Amino acid sequence: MEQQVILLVEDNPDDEALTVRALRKNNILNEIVVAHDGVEALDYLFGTGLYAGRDTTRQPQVVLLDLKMPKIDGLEVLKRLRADPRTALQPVAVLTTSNEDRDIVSSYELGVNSYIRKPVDFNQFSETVRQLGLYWLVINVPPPQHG
Amino acid sequence: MSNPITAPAPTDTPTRRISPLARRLVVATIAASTAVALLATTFQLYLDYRRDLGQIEATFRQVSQTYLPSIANALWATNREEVQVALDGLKQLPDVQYVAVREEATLWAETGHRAATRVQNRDYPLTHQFRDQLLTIGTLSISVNMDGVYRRLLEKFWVILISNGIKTFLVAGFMFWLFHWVITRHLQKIAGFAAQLGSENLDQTLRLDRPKQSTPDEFDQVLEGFQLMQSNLKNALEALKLDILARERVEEELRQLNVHLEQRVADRTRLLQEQARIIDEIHDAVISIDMQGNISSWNLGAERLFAYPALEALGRNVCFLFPEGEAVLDVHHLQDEQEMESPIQRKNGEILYAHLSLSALRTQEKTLRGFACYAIDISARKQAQALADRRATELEASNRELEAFSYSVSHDLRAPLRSIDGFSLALIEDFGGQLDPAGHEYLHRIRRAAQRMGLLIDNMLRLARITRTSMHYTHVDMTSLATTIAADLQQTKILSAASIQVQPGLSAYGDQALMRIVMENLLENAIKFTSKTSQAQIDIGAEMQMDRLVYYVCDNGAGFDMVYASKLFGAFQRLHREEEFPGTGIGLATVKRIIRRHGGDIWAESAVGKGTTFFFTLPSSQLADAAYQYDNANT
Repeated sequence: MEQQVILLVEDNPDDEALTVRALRKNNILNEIVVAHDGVEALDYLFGTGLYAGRDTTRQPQVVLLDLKMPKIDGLEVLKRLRADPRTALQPVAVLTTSNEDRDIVSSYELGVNSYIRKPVDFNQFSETVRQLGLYWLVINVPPPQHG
Repeated sequence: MSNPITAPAPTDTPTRRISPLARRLVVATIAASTAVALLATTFQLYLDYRRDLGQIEATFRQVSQTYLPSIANALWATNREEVQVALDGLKQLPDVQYVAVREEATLWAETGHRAATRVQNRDYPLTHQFRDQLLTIGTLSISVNMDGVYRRLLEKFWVILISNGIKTFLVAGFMFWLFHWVITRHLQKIAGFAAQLGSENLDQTLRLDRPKQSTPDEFDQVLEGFQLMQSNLKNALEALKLDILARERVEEELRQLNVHLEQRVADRTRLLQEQARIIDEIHDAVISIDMQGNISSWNLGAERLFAYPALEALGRNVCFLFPEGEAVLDVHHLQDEQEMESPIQRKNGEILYAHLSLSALRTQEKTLRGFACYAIDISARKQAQALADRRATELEASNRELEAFSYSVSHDLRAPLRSIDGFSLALIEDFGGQLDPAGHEYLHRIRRAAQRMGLLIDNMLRLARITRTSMHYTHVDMTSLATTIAADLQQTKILSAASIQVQPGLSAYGDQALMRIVMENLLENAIKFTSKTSQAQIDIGAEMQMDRLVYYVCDNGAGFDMVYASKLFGAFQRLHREEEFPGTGIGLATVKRIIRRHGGDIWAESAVGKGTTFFFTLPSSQLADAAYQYDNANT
């Protein structure tokens, strides 16, 4: 079975490194594509810009989406994903530092599949990422891919 | 209740006199019978007189028939003796007083003596038949005395008079007694009874002191009549009483109505005067305009507001009160009730801002005849409003900034902490072998500090959020809330040694989410500070204190010195060292803020080593609703 891709949208390189480390430490060896802001993420998902020509019929198993990012923030990315039929059903888990109510509410309103807050304690963070990977990569049944 | 109707006091004269009726009757009887007796007596006396006269006449007749021939013969024979005998015989006849025989003028013989008065004389011729010739030979004179007749008459008169008198008096006396016995005493009794008859003794029965009559007579009719009258009177009296009562009631009602009416009239008059006075003296302007838009009334307030005296304003078109003479009050386009705000122009040209309340004035036939306009100077309010608006805008901006700040804190401040913690751990995991124990210890300290700061930031954000989130009041089941939280805490914290008792039936009126935070913090606190107590006991309940419901969370934990009680609820204030009991010093500040935001109070009682009790109150649902309205209106 072909390895499924995880798209990590994260502008903070520390967080990127720690997330990747947590995934790897938990034996999640799937390909991790990192987008450093909303624009990159959309380029990847829609096969534009940097990722022009990418086969967009193959989409990530899950998008781990940070909210607070330069250029296009996470909520905007989510909105555009849900607005486009190609990605309307794309599983997206918000993975963010914020626990502001309005972020949580907005995310769910825009159709996020999961909202996870990154704890400061790395042990907890690592455990969270482990469960996240287990759930989205193993337990969850994704929508059928196009093509 | 009316006074009882009493009979007038009987005047004593008629009853005190002894049977005047009987007396009158007796007098009348006596008079009548005396008159009749007199007539009868007179008649009888007359008859007796006639009879006596008849007897005398008979005597005369006897004389003429019996004695005349013999005397004439004796005289013829001139037998004086025989004549004398005859005369003596005549003299023996009753009442004959004097008898004489005369021959021509010569007294021949006589007997008795002559009396001059009260005699009746009769002369008889003495004749003798001599040869076919009847010769008168003498005259016989007889005097009959009338004294006897008159004496007898007189005697008879007296006898009749006296006997009749006695009889009349006896009959009259008897009649008097009889009349009194049979009639007048009863009449007196009836009169007395009637006289004393009053409204209160109408039930008395009139009884007469006499035997029962076999056939009812007039008195029985009178008694019957009296009873009927009494019963009628009684009925009439009852009716009268009722009538009087009803009338009194009606009068009372009428009186009260009158009083009420007078009061109302007085009130109304006062009100009208007051209203007129108010309208005139009210600080605000009250003016009225007619259908041409001309001012028809102008009070002192209007003089003050517009600075035009009434004389200059009355009759002018209302336009001049507005800047540029603008037709703000166009009578034909105004609604019946209308409020507006408009600039106005005073006499000195100063522009003020006024609130105008317009009410249509109508005639009795409901046709529009103008408008009353109530104008208030709202310049100051306008300014204040503008200021308040500006401040609200500023506040809003500052709130937005604060929100942005906390949003940023939430995102940006925690991320570096995660890096510090994450990479410290990575360092331990990846390069732990190259570090000595001191190095390991430092990295652990770094991690602890980072984690603590993360907690601080979280709690601080939560505290800040308490004042920003909107409140939704509901009835909160505090018992189940506390029980759930206690169970959760005992699962997540390892400090399950405490025995937690929650009073059943606790409820509160407040924001469910905020109440949860309160209970979480207080319980967490209690669990934390009893963590070193053996047989830890935590009680949650409520009790009435000075008419208000006070909730409490009571533990037997470490407690604190009441000297520091004032610091208890301050943010970042702690009464224990971190090594003793970990914490951020924000929990109780959060609790206090929530309680205050609900309009309640919170305080604590504690003693070192004895435990702590936190008390808090929440306003009643009505107060809470009012506070909520206020809160919403001001956020």
